[in-house]
Amino acid sequence: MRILPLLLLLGCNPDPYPGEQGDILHISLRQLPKSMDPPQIEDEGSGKVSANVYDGLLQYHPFARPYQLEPALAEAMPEMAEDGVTYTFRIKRGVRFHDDPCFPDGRGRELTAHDFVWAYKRLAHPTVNSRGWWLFDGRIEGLDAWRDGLRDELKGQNVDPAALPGMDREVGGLKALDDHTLQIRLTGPYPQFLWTLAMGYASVYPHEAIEHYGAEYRNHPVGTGPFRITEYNPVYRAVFERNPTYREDHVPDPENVPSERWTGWEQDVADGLLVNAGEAVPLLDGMEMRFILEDQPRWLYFKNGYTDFLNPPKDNIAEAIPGGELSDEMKSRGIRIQRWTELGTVYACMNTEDPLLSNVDVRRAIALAYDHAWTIENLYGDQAILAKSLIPPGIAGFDGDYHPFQAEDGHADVERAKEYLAKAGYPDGIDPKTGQRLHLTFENSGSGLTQRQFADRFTDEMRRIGIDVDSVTNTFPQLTDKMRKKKFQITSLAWGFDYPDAQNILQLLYGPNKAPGVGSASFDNPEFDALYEEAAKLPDGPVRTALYEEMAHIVADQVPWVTRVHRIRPNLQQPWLQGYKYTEVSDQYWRYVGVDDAERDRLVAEWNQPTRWPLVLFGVVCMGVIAISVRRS
Amino acid sequence: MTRFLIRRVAYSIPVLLGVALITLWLFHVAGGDPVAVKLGKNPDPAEVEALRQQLGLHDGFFWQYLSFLKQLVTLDFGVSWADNTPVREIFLRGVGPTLTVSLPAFTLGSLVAIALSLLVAMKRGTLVDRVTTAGAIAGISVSSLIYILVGQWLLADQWKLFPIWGYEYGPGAAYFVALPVLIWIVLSVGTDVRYFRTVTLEEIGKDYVRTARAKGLSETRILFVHVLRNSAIPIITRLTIAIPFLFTGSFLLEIFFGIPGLGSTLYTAITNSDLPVVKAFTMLGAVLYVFFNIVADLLYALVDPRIGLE
Repeated sequence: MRILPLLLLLGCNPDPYPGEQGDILHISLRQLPKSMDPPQIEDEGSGKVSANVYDGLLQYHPFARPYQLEPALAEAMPEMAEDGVTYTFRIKRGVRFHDDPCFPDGRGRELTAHDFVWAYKRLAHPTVNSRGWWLFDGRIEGLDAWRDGLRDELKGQNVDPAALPGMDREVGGLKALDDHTLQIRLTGPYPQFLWTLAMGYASVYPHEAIEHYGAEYRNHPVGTGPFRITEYNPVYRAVFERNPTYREDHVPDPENVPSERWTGWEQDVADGLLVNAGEAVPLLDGMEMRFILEDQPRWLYFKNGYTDFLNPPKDNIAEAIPGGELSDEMKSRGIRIQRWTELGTVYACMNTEDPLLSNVDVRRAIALAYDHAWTIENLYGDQAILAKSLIPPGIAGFDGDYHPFQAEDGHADVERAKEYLAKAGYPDGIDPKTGQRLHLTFENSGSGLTQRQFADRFTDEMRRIGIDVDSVTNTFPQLTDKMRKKKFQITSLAWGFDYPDAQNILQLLYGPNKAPGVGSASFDNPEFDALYEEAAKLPDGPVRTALYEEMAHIVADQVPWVTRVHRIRPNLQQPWLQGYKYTEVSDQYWRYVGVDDAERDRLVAEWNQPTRWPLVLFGVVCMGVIAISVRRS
Repeated sequence: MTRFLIRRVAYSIPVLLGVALITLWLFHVAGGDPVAVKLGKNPDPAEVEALRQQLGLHDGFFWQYLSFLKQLVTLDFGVSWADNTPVREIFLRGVGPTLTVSLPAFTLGSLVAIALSLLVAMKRGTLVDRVTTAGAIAGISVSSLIYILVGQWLLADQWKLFPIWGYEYGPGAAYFVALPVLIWIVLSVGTDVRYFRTVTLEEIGKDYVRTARAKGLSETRILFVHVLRNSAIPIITRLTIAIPFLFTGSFLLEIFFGIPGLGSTLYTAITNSDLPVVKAFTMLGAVLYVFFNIVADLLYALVDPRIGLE
């Protein structure tokens, strides 16, 4: 009975942001961030938490599609010298780092070109264990030699990563010509270079912060971005406030400023995405990100108005967008939807050095036996499109007409699959040497219901062509270990693009990258490799696009991967959210987003009126039981 | 008693060494590649090797075991392999939120369970007994995940009586932990009532209870003074052995309700192959388990003078 007063005391107030003031953006993240130290920002959680704390030289335009880069801390796009490998960036003047105790007077100092040189060298420093070294690996003149030399010198020594020995040594390809001019000289043509400068790894931060915080810097980011962090609990939430010293920047105003127009701007205006055009950014007073790992609370948070946008979890798609249309309940609440096909591909990766799967006809049979259409309908709830190429639509090199081992409608072609299995020497899936059915081990990543459903479906599809499948559950590190050591046969993976260039996914099939590198399929095709090397030297254009298409055709023919789907990300947005054009490529757009806080308060209060009768009923029952007990005794 | 304590502590050492051995062995067999967690998706092979060296992964199993024992003795488990946070900091950050949920839930749940078990024992064979027992069995039969999902959906989403998810450090925590505490109580009461009822019934059938009734003592006095005291040993055993689990928390409740505690931290560490965190938490659990077993033995002697500690 003593629980009753507790319930009455604590219940009846579901607001998870008690006492909050100002225009605050509420975001839920489905992954825990690991670090806000730029060389370690690889995972989704870390990227989203850090994206608006830091800036780099370049950034993605918040509205333009196809994607285009624009200057961030650079005054303009870089000048490229005639040699094709030397870039010169002019750095904006008057940009200041966040005010922070790491500076002598607590006031952020002015950013200079030297900060970029220092940050890029730290990305390469051997004691930092950077996750983003691949960005510059072999690309910047003198940087590899600098890194290798340091590694040799420091071998066997126990060095404090914050000490960064050797940072004062010069790197020929990285020079601050003066305080506001940065010159980067590459080792050769690197057409993707500018894209990489818009990634989180290439953010700039002050050396004072590393000296002050040491390893703790991962929790105390100091940048030049529009927000700074005021509270951070890596397993619960991150709270941000507007950076009062943020540089001059504004929401693009294409209606009034012709030079700020982009292809399709009229549609964005018509869609109401530019209600704050011309206003200084950030529009918000702050942001609060909560790390909600489970689907149900993440979905309920959004439904009750406690987060401002959400990609609904798989199991809630039928409730939110039945039949592909926003539900009546969502519509009645004024919730809007944007759909976005991911810049990435889900695929089955086969180990081409496995004794069975080294046979290309076995791989082709497996590809033909997959029923992608069934999977899209039943396991993705129609929120995916058939991947007819490993390159997604909208990216140069996509060719949806060439998929020799995938039926046009995406369904399985069991008869053809059996033909290829027979051609491979295994009629009806029987190995003539042993007289037994073929056996495959499917490595599953994770043990959740979704993963089990996919594994069960694969087992069933293979059984139809006479192959038995064992499914093994792995944690992601276990699976990574197996792939690195080539101790697997087939697994299901997804690749999300780091930047919108097909090279980013094709690199996974380039021979020199094979396991233990990133190329888990261990695909080693000289023709593919030659095309890759040729394309790597070319800027974006029809010639390079043709090479990408040719490479994609080789993959479709040789089937180291079975390309499956490109997932559709439906993004639900609350009615009070302003100016949000959804994308997954960059997380920096939150600085251009606004919220109508008064409208949010009104609607959230309206949607969340407590139902009190269960408490009253519970109280009456308890009182009744007490009364009966007292009378009896 | 001192000799008893020394002997029990001495017996505990091989247990702890065994737990350490099994933990390390399991990690070797099924732990995956921690370097992949630390270096990301495009690691430089030279850096992979350097990091393996740095983490001591090239050392033989025996040396790794010795290093583990050294960490255990010095209580310094290093830093998390996933995000370089010192393990001590991870523990200190999580222990408060975990106990904010587990302590009130355990205390209230135990009180409710003991009270209910005494009530149904007293009313044995009546409707109250049958309904309570059936309710307890039904409660045990349903997965804890269902309680959490339905509790969150019904009480927080549909009826808006509690926050759906969240936590505040300090007194504000009460507001956020009320629902997880309530669900924990509901989850634990069924099993406890069944167990305590059996224990109490066993005592109620004994001669001393009949004698007490013959002397005209009230049922309340018989139950709370005589029966409860004599049922104390199994009840103490059950409750004391449950205490170590209050520190590891309920990872499901913590994850579903946003409690940044030790349970959800351990779950994340296991999925990330974060050996330093897994090692520290496993050993913490083992040490607490051994410690509270000894406490339970001491309590036996306290509640029942017939039990000696020699």
